[in-house]
Amino acid sequence: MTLRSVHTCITRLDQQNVAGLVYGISVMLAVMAICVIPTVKVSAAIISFDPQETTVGLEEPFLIGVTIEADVPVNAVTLVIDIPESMEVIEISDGDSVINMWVERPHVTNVHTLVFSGIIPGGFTGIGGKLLTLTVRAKQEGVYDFIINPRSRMYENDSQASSQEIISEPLRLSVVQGKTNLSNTIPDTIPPESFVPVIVTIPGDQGDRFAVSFQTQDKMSGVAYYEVAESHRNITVSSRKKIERLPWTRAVAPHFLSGQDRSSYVYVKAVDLRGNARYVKINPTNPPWQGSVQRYILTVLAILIVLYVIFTRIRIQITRSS
Amino acid sequence: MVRGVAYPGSQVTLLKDGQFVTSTVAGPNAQFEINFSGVTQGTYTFNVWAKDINGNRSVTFPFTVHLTSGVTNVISGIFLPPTISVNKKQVRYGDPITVMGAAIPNAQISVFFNSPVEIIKQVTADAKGLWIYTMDSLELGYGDHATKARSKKDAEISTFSQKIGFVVGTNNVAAIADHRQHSADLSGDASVNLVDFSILLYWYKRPLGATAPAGIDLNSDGKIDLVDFSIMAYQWTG
Repeated sequence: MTLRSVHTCITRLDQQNVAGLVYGISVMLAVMAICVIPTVKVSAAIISFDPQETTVGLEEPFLIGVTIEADVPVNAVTLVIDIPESMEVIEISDGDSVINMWVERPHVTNVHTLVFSGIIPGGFTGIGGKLLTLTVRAKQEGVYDFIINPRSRMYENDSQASSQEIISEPLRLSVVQGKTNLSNTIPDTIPPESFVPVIVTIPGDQGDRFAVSFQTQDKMSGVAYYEVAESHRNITVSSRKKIERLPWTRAVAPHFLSGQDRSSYVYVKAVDLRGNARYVKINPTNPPWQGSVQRYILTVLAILIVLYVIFTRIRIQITRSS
Repeated sequence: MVRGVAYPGSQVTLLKDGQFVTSTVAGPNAQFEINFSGVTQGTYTFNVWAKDINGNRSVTFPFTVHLTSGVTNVISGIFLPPTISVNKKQVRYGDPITVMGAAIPNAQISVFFNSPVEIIKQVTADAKGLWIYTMDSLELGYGDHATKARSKKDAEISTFSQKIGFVVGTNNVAAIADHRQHSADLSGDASVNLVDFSILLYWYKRPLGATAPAGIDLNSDGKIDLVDFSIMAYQWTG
């Protein structure tokens, strides 16, 4: 029995509004009969919404998990989720996500869709694989649906990137006034995972240019953003006060370096949604001290030559006058 | 701790969330064990792949697990499928084509040929884990074909190896040994990792003009989209 057929059976059972026990049993038997009929294997993945509650309080934040279930390895996902206009997504957490590398980090567009693309090297197989956790606030009472948009795509972990069918059920939420939602803060005191950024030569319209690239995970609240700083100063990453004084700028990988001569130390900071930061450093390939020493030696030589010339002239003048 | 079987003397690499963790060499019995520490509690996607003594790479064996901090997590039972290569990318109809690779010593190898009717042949790996099967192309017929293999030892059956394509035609063309094997190795450093991902990311959704690097469009459809990233993820070495 395929994943799809199992899911279909479960869905059908859920949707039956059975009035009596006899009728219920007969429906169940009928559904079970459908289930045991051999089905053609269809490669498919199930995307599910996993809300804390299906009835939520107005203006109260609540959490919705988005998970994946796959019976063959899925290695690339583009997901487009239609968000009801009366719902505001106030936080998107990729904490503990099975997505390892983001092609497009999750973001809400101006047409009330949440979009992201990412890859899972080697692929994901299994159930309950977390993709995202959304913190949402309802702005209006009523019944609203979160829907996986048909523009969503998934690809199998094979040499041709075979397309996978996506099976999903909309999430229906009832919003009522006066209800207090469950606790919805993802606690986190641990910085993002340690990571190794790399210097990449990007061939592009303006020729080959150096960029720094980085990617890490945060297993709790999720990565919020990255920052990059370039400096000739060699600072230990554990020196929090010193390193915070660097000229940090928000960055998205690949981030082109302003110092294309590679004489600067490159610092990368990954910050999670609760403000915990992980700092890493890349050493320069042309360290600044090399240039400084050369300049220093040349300056000293020039001074010595000038002094020699002056001294020689003075000595000649003294010799002539005597 | 990660334990499993690969091929005798093969280099086994472990990736965590797509990033290289460490590598080790499998013993003469193909068994390997990798120890690592310093992970926080959470869900991790690990990948294990191996390179056999002839330089051929296995497919990646992925697994997603939730690790708990403060205890020793043991992940065992990893059974890498055999490596596979062919000696000809085109074989003259009537001539033999040789399929070979590495597996667990003395494993039973099933070699699959996708002809109009799938043909399955059996061969046993030697004590060094090497296996070879010579296929008569008369059995296959003219046209495009592909082969893949899986191994069996005791009650354990591996997943499939890569699928290798070849043609039965009117003349023989030798397969060029290309241990790089990765069209997604955009930087040419014999690895597919964050460096290549970053190059592809730069060109994502950009028009591929004259300045676009050769070979960046991995599926040759004139654009860089998620399909190209999927192909890269399949070839990922970390």
